[in-house]
Amino acid sequence: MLKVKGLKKSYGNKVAVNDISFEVDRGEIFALLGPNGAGKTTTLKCIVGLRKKDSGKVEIDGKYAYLPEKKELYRYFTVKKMVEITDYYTEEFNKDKAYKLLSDFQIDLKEKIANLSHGMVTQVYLALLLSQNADIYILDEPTWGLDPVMRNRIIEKIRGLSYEGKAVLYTSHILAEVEKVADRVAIMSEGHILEMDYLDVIKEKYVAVTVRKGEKVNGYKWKETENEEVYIVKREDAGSEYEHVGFDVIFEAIVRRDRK
Amino acid sequence: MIKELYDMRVRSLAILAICLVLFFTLAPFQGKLLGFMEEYKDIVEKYAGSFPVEKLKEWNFYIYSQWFGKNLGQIIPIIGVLFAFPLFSREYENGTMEFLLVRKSRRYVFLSKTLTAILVMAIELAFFSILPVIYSSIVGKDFESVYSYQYMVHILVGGLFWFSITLLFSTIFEDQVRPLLFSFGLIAITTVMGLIKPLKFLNTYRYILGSGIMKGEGIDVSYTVYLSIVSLVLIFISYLIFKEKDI
Repeated sequence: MLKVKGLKKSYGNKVAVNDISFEVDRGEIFALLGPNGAGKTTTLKCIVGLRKKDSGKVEIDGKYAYLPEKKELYRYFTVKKMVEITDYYTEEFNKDKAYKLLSDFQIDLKEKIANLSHGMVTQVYLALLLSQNADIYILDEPTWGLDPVMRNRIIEKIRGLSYEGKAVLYTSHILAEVEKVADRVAIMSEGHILEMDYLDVIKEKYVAVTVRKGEKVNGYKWKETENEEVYIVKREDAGSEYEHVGFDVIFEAIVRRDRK
Repeated sequence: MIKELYDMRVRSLAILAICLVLFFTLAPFQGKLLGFMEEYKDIVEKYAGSFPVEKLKEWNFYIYSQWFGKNLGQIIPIIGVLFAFPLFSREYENGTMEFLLVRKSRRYVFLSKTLTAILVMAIELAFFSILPVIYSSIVGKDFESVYSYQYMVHILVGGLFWFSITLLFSTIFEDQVRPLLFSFGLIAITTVMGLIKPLKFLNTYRYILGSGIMKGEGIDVSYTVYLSIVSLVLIFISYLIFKEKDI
């Protein structure tokens, strides 16, 4: 559904995205994870053509819908007018579905966008996006600013998209949410993809080993005490004594890139 | 196009209202102005210089010199700037450009914004140009309308020129203030530099105020062609910038 090959993007001397490649299949939820400035948003923007890539290939098989990181809508429009404008600009937009979603989210159609809270604007944007019939949904921090209840509802809807055979590429900094919804993840840092696999495989692949300070280990340092260091290593490099760790620990160790 | 019309409704109505106020504080008060000038004849003669004050008694001269040559003419570059400055910069500044560009092509967005604004501006400027014709026929004044249409050409082309310059700034800058400042700065600079004889072609006011038309020289064809070509080139450059811009 989506193929990204050797994507590169720089801003002046700063390389934001450095030769990354990945694919998202039909019915799959693929999460791009990483700390701030990792290059996630730039990657998404290059895919949808908002930013011009320096090199690489992006192939999208079908129509896409995109939710930007900054959910800005026309502040001087009412919610209803915003739906009408979206209908005018968007191919295969289902106005009735948008009104239904907005009603579910308890958003007043007569309210001006300017009078809505950040979370409510995000809900309006999501309602507009989910009412668009696309083959791949590209979502940049779709639940940012939402309360936990609403976040879970949105996660359900994202999951629902994959059941309908749609592909989803999304970014989030909430790891618990990613664990709930994503099939495959790519962990990005400083423009590189450091790890990419099925979530369950990554959780199986890495374990924690505790060694004496200074001892050589092939892995990512996670933490240290006065005499010991804890490394996140691949299971085959771990020897016989290791501990299973959560995805959040694996993620933290990898993005810190404090590797020996 | 619907959104673009909605976006510019306040600006276009404000410009319409201001120009109507300017016209109706001028046209009905020819008699009052002449009376005032008679009262202060000495002072008027002292400061009028070579301006043929006596000719203001003629309706045609009064309207052409005071409306086209002063009130309306002077604000044409400003009208061009006001129509163009927020077209792209406001979308960049408010972060809404993403909404448009993931739904429509850059070409569509550029053309719908630019052509809608040009169309609305042209309708308003054409209306302001024939306003004296309409007014004169309503109040029963004898008016030689042929010059109005010649002025209309100068006004439309002059307006388009300043529109296209501001459009360029609007596609470059990601805030609404700089396109305004740069455009007004350029109006001031070109007008001042145009006072130097070899650079007088830079002063677009000489063309927009149409002093040659009043002298019976007709439309300044070469300057019209020159400004039109420059305007089209600027619009095309704006498109190229917009097409490649990172959002």
